[in-house]
Amino acid sequence: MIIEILFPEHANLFGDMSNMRYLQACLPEATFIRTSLNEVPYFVNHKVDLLYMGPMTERVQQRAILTLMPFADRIKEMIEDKTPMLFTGNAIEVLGHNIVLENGNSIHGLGLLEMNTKQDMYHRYNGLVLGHFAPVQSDIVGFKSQFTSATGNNADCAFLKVERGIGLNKQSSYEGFFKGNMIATYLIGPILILNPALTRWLLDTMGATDAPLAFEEAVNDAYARRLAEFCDPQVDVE
Amino acid sequence: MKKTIRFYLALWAAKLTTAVLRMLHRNATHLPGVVALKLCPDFLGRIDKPKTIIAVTGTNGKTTVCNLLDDILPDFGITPLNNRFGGNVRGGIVATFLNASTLGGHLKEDMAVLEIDERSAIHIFKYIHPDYLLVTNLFRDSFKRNAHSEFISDILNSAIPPKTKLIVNADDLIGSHLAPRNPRVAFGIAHREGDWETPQNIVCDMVTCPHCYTTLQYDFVRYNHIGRAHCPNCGYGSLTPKYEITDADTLTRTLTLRSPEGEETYRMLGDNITDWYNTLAAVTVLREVGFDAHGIASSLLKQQIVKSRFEQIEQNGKTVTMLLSKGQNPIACSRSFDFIRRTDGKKAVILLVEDFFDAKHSTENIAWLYDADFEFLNRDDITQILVAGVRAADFRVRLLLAGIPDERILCMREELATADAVDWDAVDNTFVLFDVYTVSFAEAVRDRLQERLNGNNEEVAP
Repeated sequence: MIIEILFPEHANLFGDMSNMRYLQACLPEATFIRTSLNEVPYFVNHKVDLLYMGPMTERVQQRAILTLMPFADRIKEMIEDKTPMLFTGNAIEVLGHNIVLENGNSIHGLGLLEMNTKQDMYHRYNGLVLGHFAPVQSDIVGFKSQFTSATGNNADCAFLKVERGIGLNKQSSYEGFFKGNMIATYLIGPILILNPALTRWLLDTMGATDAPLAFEEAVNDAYARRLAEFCDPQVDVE
Repeated sequence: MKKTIRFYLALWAAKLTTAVLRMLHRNATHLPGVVALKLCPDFLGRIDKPKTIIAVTGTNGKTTVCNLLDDILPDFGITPLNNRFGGNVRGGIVATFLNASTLGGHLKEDMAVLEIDERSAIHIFKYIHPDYLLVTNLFRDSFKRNAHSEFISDILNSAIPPKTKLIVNADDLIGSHLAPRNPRVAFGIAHREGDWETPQNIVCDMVTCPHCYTTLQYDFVRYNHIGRAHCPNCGYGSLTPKYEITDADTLTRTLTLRSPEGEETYRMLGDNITDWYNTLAAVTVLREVGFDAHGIASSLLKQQIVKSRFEQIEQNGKTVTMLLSKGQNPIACSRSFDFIRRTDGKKAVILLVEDFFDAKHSTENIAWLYDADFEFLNRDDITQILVAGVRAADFRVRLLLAGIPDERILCMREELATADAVDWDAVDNTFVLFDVYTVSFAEAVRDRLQERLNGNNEEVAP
């Protein structure tokens, strides 16, 4: 089992690297390949069982696009091959068409997702999301914290149909993208720890059907408590 | 900027607001400033300023350093204008100037020591140009508010006035390179036993050179990105400190400092490395402003870290240690965890650091728990970790991921119940980690722990 983490020295904001630590606890025998920004990614020439990239600063995001641009076709091939992939936070924007920066300039993304992004560094959006991910019975819970809003066409390929919170933007009820077995989402933080059913699906999709969830009773307990809060109309989502 | 009719109206309206709030026994630390700004948006530019302005910003330590400066300066015959009891955002700074000014908008103070929130610097430095700006350090802080340290650096870079002299931490590669064209002086702590060769914490925001992305070579790492490093490719690296602690003697409680004038000795105010950085930062500011080393050293003999931040109570051979550890701030909590692991004896840890405000109306984004080094608590000499509050189940998962056995983790809903669950027969020291907004809970826990040490073991009803 090979899991490649892209640019972990930078793409590690908001506790997202905990998702990989949790997978390591679930898959103690797995090999984790950590690829830095100056290296050719492992997935370019090899099969991986999971490709992961977490959120990063806005400057690093531009650098990540430059690094990955030559391999956009390879990522597209992996989407079509149904290779499991997870992009969290603003890593999703790397895969979109373009990002309009605060200064008005625009940069191209990899063009793999039907979305465009606009930065607003003076207004940070913080909120909760409760939504439904089709392959999983349980609702998904998560958090957003971002300077950007996105527009795009994701109604038929969204990661989540949002029940509470926002989707790609405040008017959208579709969050992120789910294509092949690639999840690209604005949700940040330990989403695999927060959502045991999602992790179960991911492990099964990776072929690790026998791998037990680490600390299963504890993560299920925390999930049940959080879900009750997220469903409570008294709880503010923004 | 000249004083206009609009300015005077704002001044008087704000002073009236202050008077009314005080009659109602309410804090007048923020609202009067808001009133003044509403009526006169450039109020800060028009009010009189002291001759010398010292501003202090940074992620951690700014309140402690400001308190030290405010307490030492009177020994030199100076009572500075300060926002010690006010806010550190724009409204609080305005209120500070308002409260000190006459009805004509004049000030009697010649010097100001102002704690400035990093994000608010852009609004404040537009009108207040500090002569000295101390940047204690820059780290990840609240994700919701501060996003990441690059975002905060960009704000400060666009806000710092060009003539302001920076006083920076040479051991902090992020803060020390702010506003590169400004004059600066650096302080630091020389390599010590116990420093690392490579980063050890979960979070290290200086892994590669910000100019050429080459992996940095660390000469030593103290915690997170605090240490000395250089880029082997382009010459970027740590500054050379003008004021450097070369020795810290915990037996004689002294810090030995190398300055351009030679060796100086100062009292050690606390056992934590962050206490030493805070003391060094205050000393550097005072030395740069022009105060003599002997006078500073004499004054430091009288100072102490305020009890609201650190308090140790010994009773019947056992110790209760209260540690302020800002929630949603993974670095501050990791420093506390590091302090605990370096303390001798069997220990219990009570965590009261969940977000007080989120718990009231929403549900806390607990992502920050995964940037904090709970792994430091995975030790055989830490026999109990007690967590209270609505997020206790999340803390349990985080502690399990840190490798801590489930049987050492006790989760409870009510804060006070943690004090009753501490097994005093098995532990020598109980650490209570609390946030600025959970002080009342922490004090209740402390008092209950003391009661139990005094022999009252009757459980308090939750």
